[in-house]
Amino acid sequence: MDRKEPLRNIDSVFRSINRMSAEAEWHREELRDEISASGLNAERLVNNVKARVSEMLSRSGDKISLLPLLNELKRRTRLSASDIARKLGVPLLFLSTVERYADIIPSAWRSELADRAERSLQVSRELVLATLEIPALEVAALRDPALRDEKLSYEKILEESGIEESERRFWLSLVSGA
Amino acid sequence: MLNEAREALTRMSEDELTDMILQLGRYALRESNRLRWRTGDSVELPGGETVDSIVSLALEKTLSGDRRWNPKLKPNIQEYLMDVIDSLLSHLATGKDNRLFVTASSSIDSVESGRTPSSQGHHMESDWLARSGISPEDTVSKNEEEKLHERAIELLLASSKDDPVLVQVVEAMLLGNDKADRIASATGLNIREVYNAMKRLDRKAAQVSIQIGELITTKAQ
Repeated sequence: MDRKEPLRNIDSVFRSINRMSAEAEWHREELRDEISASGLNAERLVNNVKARVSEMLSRSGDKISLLPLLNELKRRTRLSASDIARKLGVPLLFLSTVERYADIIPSAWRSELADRAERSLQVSRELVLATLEIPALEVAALRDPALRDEKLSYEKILEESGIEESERRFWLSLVSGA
Repeated sequence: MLNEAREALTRMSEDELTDMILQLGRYALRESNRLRWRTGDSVELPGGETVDSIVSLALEKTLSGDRRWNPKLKPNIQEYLMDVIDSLLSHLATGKDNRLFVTASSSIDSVESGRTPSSQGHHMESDWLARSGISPEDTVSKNEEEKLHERAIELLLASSKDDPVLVQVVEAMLLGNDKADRIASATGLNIREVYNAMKRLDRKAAQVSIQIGELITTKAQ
């Protein structure tokens, strides 16, 4: 039979309260308020810890855990591919082409997409950059067989991705540094 | 060997990760509140650590494999990380960087002005001199512990007196019911009511914890 001993130590009472509180259902805003009321900056806590986690997860040993860009973003945000593209301000075709041919696109584009993802999707830029470093062999299955023999360039990717003229100029300007 | 923690964190959505970090932050704050720090501050801890850095460190140690999470033994990674936080905070609280520092003059000032070191925050720290090399955690003797326990319970019940559910929950806990389902059985509340009560009680406990900390600090001077 389960015998209960009266709690004789206040630490045990406080620890039990803390543990059971952690099991309770909390809304995110409630948690933020609790943390802020105790003198800690909740935003900074989340950002600092996330940055550290991303850094550790993006180290070489973890590449097996990362999916190609779009799938990774879908997994992390629970949004559809088209919603992700819309939030990033690019056509879905552009995003999927970038995912498949990340080894061809300029580093300035990677950086811009990583910044946009961090801003609009709250996915850390380190993680986005890491997904774009997945070896070409691992995303080969996603590639278009019709383009296999074609010499692809980032200009060609822009041309084929249905991007508007002003946007096209923006992405080209990132490469030229203009 | 497969690092299960890395896999679990990689599978988490950003929202899930945010919620877990916030939950760990809240947990670490409360635990830190419960411990006694020479800094007189439960956010900025000795050794240059902070509550942020403790949460980060718990995740780092688990991700690096320094602390190995076994999902078969503890399926919920958040619970495992709370154990790691407990261990890190306990290590810090009993470490040599958390020795009690106090000067005779600051002690007299506190008595005369009615202020306690924790109410004066960081300003005290630079003036304090090492006293007997004991940690704040060690300052409470066994025979004082019982009195503090009673005082803390009085304060907890007093601060809960306008909320009969909280009083019921505290009384059930004092009888040794330390799990939500046991408290539910003992009080007749449903489990949801117990958890909601626990969130309210958590805030009260944090306040009492601070008051008890101030009592201990005053006694130590």
